Amino acid sequence: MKKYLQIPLLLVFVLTGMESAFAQDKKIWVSGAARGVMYGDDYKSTSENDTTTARKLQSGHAMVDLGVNIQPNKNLLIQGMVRVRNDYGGFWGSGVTFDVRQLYIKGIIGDFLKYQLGDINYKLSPYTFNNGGSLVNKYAGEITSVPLQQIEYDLFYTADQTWRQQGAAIDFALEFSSFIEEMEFNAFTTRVRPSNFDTQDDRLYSGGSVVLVQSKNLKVGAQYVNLYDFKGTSNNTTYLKNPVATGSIELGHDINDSRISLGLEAGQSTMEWEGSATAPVLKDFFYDVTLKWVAPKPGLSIAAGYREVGPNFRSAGSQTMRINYQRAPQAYQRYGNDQQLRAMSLLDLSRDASLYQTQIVAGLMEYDPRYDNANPYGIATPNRRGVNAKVDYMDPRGRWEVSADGDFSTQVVGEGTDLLTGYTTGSVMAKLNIAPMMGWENRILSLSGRVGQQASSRSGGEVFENIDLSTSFTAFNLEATIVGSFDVIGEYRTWKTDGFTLVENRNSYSQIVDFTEYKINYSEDIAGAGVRYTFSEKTAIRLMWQTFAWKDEAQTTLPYTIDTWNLFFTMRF
Amino acid sequence: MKMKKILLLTASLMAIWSCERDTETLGPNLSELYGEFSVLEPFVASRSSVNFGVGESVLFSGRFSKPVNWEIHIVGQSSGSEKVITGMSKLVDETNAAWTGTTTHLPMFKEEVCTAFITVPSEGFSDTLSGISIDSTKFDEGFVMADFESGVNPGWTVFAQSGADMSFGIVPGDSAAQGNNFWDMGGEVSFDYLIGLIDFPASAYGSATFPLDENANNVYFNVMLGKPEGITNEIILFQFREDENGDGIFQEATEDMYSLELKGISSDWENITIKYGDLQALINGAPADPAGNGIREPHKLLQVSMLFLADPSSGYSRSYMDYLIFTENGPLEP
Repeated sequence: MKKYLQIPLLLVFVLTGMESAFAQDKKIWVSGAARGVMYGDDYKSTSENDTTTARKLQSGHAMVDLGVNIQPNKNLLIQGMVRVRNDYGGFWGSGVTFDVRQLYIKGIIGDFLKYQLGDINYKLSPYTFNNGGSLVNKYAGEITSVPLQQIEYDLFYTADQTWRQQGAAIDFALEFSSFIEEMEFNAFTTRVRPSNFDTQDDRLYSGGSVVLVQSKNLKVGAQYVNLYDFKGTSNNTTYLKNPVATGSIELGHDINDSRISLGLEAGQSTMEWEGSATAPVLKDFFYDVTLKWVAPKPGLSIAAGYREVGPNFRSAGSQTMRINYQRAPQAYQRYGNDQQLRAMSLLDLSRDASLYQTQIVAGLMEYDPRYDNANPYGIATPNRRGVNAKVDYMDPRGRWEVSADGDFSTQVVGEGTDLLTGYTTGSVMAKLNIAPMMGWENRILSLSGRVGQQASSRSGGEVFENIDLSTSFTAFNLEATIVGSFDVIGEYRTWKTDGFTLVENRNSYSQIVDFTEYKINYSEDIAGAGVRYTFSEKTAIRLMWQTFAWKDEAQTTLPYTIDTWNLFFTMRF
Repeated sequence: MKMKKILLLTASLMAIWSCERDTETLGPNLSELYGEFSVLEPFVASRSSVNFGVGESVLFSGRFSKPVNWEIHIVGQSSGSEKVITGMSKLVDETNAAWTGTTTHLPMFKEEVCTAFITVPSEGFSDTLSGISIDSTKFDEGFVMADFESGVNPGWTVFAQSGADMSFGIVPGDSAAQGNNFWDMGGEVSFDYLIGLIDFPASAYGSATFPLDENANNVYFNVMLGKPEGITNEIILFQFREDENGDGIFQEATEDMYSLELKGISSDWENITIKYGDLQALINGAPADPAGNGIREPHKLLQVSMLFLADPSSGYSRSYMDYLIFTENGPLEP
């Protein structure tokens, strides 16, 4: 650091992002959250092959997260958070669990270098380290988003798409007097898997970024991450290495009251297993260009982009999916007279935390084509090239808003054939805020709806090369104030997938070794309604009813319905 | 500044577009997985007559439109011997379909005419080749102790009890496991376990001990055994006596004798193989300490005895025996 201090251009070191942690006057204070949840499920089936599944299930819990924040001086903050949870039915300690939910120490060294040890939430760019959401949960409405938000809170899925890690991170910035405004430096190292002292090494994830801010109109960045086995921590002789290096540029230009910007990120990855004579070395690159025009006054935003992600591009930090499709739901896990495993559904995804991934993993996880066949690994899905666009418009007086998005891509190279599969995903949304139209202040009355479609197709060759899979989804929502802080909420969602595709079977090196024929014709829908009382911005109670229906025209699974009552009290403090 | 931005962007885009990648399709070819099956090259054999004894082999070939599980069966027209070669590929060639005269299902091939056919069970396909003539059978490296093709060696000691329905001698016939003769041993002896025995002393072959490698883990004893359907009480005991002190006499109290006891053998001919180093000292069928130095020394093997036994209360018993051979470096490939 002393070398940098001698550079004449350098003026001051800049601290960012720590203000909130150090804004408290007290030396010790408590923060956290609390909730009480009750579920009452009523399972119904008309199938003659399902006479044995338990019809009714009750569950629920009360829980409080107590975080003790200790600030011994202005440059140090320690937080330890304990979760106390009591599942209903427990009494005097039976069914009560105590867990350490999070523990971290963060502070500032020498008035310029910020550090954090223990639990950290981290992200870099979309192609290096990013916890992107899934399509199936993207449009959860007023009813299903309530339990989903609790899952996201429990698993540390944050709005800015960070991954919860355990390790250490530092960051600092340099400010310059001319030519360059600022240079921001970030670095981290975390452990994503412990050694078993025999066949499995410690697996670490490390990286960082440097962002050069020339002005608000030009930013140039470089990002690097590496998922790797730490040699010598076990008897293992094969070591995974998955480095990803990217560069990024953001150009901006103001035109009257609007702003046009161009973003570019490009980079390459390598995935190899050092010490293995049979393992492949996977190398590939990607690039992504997005042009965006934002005009705040009319409330218009238009973005269009083009991206290409190579078939062998592997980036664990950005390709790990939130949903682990190899898991099965906890409620009614086996059903029917043959006790078949019940496939996860919209209802399960909104309320079952066990279906979600908490740690990044090497390679490519298995995915379920019905919930996203086009971009299962998000923006970094390998073997895709194509254009995407998004248009948003919001009435300046907030009375209505509309939005449309589309993603049109093809494979970069064919899978099992020279023919390329094409993918189209698109949706349109409209929201009507009736209260401002009517001049009702301090009241909510809004209606919104979204209709979307995804299609995967490949044709033109032999019959066995043809793919035709389509998914359609809808989401409609209602919010209305009855009186004061007392609202009614409603939601209706449908999801339907029909057709045929071939799903890749990958080996332990994430290479395609076979295909599974996937034929489906099913639909599911949720209709729900409820009341909400808002005590404050951070505290609310909701009583909700949902009816969920699963139908399978292909008759590979049994049809059923689940009616469920939910009581949700949620609080942050 | 504007020019700098344009140059920066242009340079970045040029760098990206200059990148190249492998454009080979990913995963197995769909036409191979799901395409229609057809025979692109017919099933053929490299020769119509073969002399395995001088190291010749028959190479089969053929080509299919996609990888399939295939089986080649070669059947001896007089012996009924069968060789089965299997594979999963679209190409059948010398790397996966060479026949060196070995047998999968005994008896061993004789000098005879064979029929070969290939099948692809998943596609219901088969094709047959007939008229592959074996001019000489393969030569097996090793020390042949007995194949019963030249009668009883005068150096052997053969003893059979005076029981009922006794048979204890060489029988000629195409059903021999190897060659044209095998040893038939049967009878009902109500007063003793022993029905009959043969001693094979090294002296019968003109040497003091059997000419075997001294490394017990390198020497294998092989014998082909069979029995009639319905027989369940047979006990076949092989004893291996070592002359540890080299005096030409086996001393039961001070020298090693190892045994191999076989029960429940197959009613079809079966090749039994045991590594000399795995032989155990047995007393009444139970493992025991050897009487001598406890070291398995095949080069000091003085005599092999075969005892055909049965529980006297169990009635009639019978088994067949053929082709007793010691091999080195691995079991016999019949």
